Amino acid sequence: MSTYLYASNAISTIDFYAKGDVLSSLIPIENNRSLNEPIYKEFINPMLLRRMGKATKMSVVCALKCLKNTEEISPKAIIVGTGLGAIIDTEKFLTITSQIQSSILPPTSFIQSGHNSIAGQIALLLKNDAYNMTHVQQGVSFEYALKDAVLTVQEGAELTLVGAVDEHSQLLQYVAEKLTLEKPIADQLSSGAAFFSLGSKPKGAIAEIKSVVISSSTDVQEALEQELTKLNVQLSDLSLALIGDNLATTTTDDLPIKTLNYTNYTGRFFSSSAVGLHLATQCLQQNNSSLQYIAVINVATKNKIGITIIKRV
Amino acid sequence: MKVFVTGIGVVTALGIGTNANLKALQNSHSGIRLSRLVKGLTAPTYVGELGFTNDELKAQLGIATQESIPRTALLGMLAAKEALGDTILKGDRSGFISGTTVGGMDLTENYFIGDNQNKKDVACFKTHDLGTVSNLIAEYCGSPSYVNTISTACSSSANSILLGARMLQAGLLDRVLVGGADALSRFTINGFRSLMIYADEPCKPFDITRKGLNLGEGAGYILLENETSLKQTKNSIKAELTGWCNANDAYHQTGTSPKGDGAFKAMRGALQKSGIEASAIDYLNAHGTATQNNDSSELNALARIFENQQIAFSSTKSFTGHTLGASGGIEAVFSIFSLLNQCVFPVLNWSQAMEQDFEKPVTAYQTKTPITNVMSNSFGFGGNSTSLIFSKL
Repeated sequence: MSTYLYASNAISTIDFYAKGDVLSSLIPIENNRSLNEPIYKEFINPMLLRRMGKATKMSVVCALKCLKNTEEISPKAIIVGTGLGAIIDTEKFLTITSQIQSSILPPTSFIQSGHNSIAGQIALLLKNDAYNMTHVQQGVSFEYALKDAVLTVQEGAELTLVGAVDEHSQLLQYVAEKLTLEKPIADQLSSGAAFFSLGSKPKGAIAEIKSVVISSSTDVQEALEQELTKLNVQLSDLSLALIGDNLATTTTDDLPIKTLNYTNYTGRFFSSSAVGLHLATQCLQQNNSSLQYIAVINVATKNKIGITIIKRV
Repeated sequence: MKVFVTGIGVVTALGIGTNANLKALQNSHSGIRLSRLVKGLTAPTYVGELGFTNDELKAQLGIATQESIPRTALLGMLAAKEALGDTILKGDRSGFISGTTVGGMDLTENYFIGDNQNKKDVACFKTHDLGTVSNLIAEYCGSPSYVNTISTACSSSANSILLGARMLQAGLLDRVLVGGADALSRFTINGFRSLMIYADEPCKPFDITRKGLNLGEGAGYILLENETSLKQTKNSIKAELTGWCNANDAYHQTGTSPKGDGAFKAMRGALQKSGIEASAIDYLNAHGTATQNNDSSELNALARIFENQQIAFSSTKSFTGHTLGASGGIEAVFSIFSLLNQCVFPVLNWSQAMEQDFEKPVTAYQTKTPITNVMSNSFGFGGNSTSLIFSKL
């Protein structure tokens, strides 16, 4: 059974709201680490918004925008991937409890700190009682969420909402610098969210999801070709490979096809490949685009490579 | 395609291993007492705590003391090792899915209570994220290709079991170790205190005078295999996982709906998946946290599912405390105990029925035959509600 992608939306350092060719207006992350954010109160009740963590409000808006054209159908599954979840609220509650020695503590940051508070909040706002899942596996959190989403479609879900999010914090920045991770990682740390709606019917789809896989190979080209072989597609048929660095840094110049390193523009965060996939859908939808197959390659670690391949419908 | 359970492993305040846990359950010995190991608590706190320090656990696992490994991972390794027995998880057809909420929080916390800024060691963040904790346990089990972590609050490990079952049925894996682990932490103890639902006495699930929950720690894993895998491992079958359903209560961030809509939908869905009527459930291991809200809401949902039928139910959280992300895995093991030993476990500290006109919980250990189907409930913040059904082969 095929899985189709109907809508996608992202909040990123990349300005997806700008008109025109998204690829021609990319700004390197080193020159711009601020997010292009919507006006949240246009989407979320201000009372609710005030108590919402960053990752949650980003996710809620992306999710709502994805469902704009399918409002008559409520999702049969809501699936979120996140590497660190609501890290800002986690830090906040840890700080509060280390400073206040009282038995009366403010609970808000504890409530928001749960990794599933994001998917839970989306369900709450949509009054959605369906399957609700949160995958938390470092740099492949999004791919695992997406694999689960594809599985729900195969199991018969008419509409599945799936996305991923991670937020940046000052402490995270400090820790990354102190832990002397590879230099580019600390310099490119960022945040972002992207959500997608999926289903099994081709009507209204912008792309078909051909493949979602996590390869244990250490070689990007080998991992990619292995996946393409299963699809009976040649490497030369691949119009574009969007490559992202997660906890590893790769030299991807040797792939004999057109490539673009998306994390140079989205910055690095565990679930950055979700924004990579959104970028891929935007590329497919550009005017005059003749792209057919696009691969999003997420080099999560040296021996874990997430590969998502989509095809124009 | 059938989903078989061929291995079980458990660690709780009742002890390390299935034997210690079963014995305590049969003898009504609770593991809940005042905490001795959690540092920095501002008041005496009733917990379900495993009475071994991290160094003692490392010694049992053959891990060097100086290795920095979060307690969640240590608990997880012990339970995973028991559940796997001789089976090694390796390659593309094997997986490990762990549910957790705190991950490496016990080490992270040390950064925040360092006496002065200079003492603060950022290295404790290396194992903070949940995925790292699962990787540590997975490496201990043979490093299968598919290693994933589910975090849906108190239903985390029930959902890891559910995901594993779905992946077996879809033919994506042949064998998968599922369940979860969570250690006690100041973070969660303070968190539940801040919500005013932490009892200052041993918890009393389903009692009208209940005052809230006690947190606990532990790990519970079960090995799921399909027929292809059984031919290779030759493991004997302990039970079959026949029903599962994940639903959302969509009512409140932390509270559950008065009528237990999410719980109702999860139980109904699990029964449908299993293809049995509610009357075929012989024992129900309830979520039963002993908070006002959960027990009232869950009992209302039970009344809707079981209507006028008799149902033997209890909450083993009165033995272990609420082990959060581990509870679904631990209670899955207890549910399988029920099938293997044809027995039902009591709720402890119970004296008075709640307002609802419904069956009273089981209050004394009893052998009961036949026990063919056991349901296990796990409900969490964020509305996450999951029910599982284990059946005797």
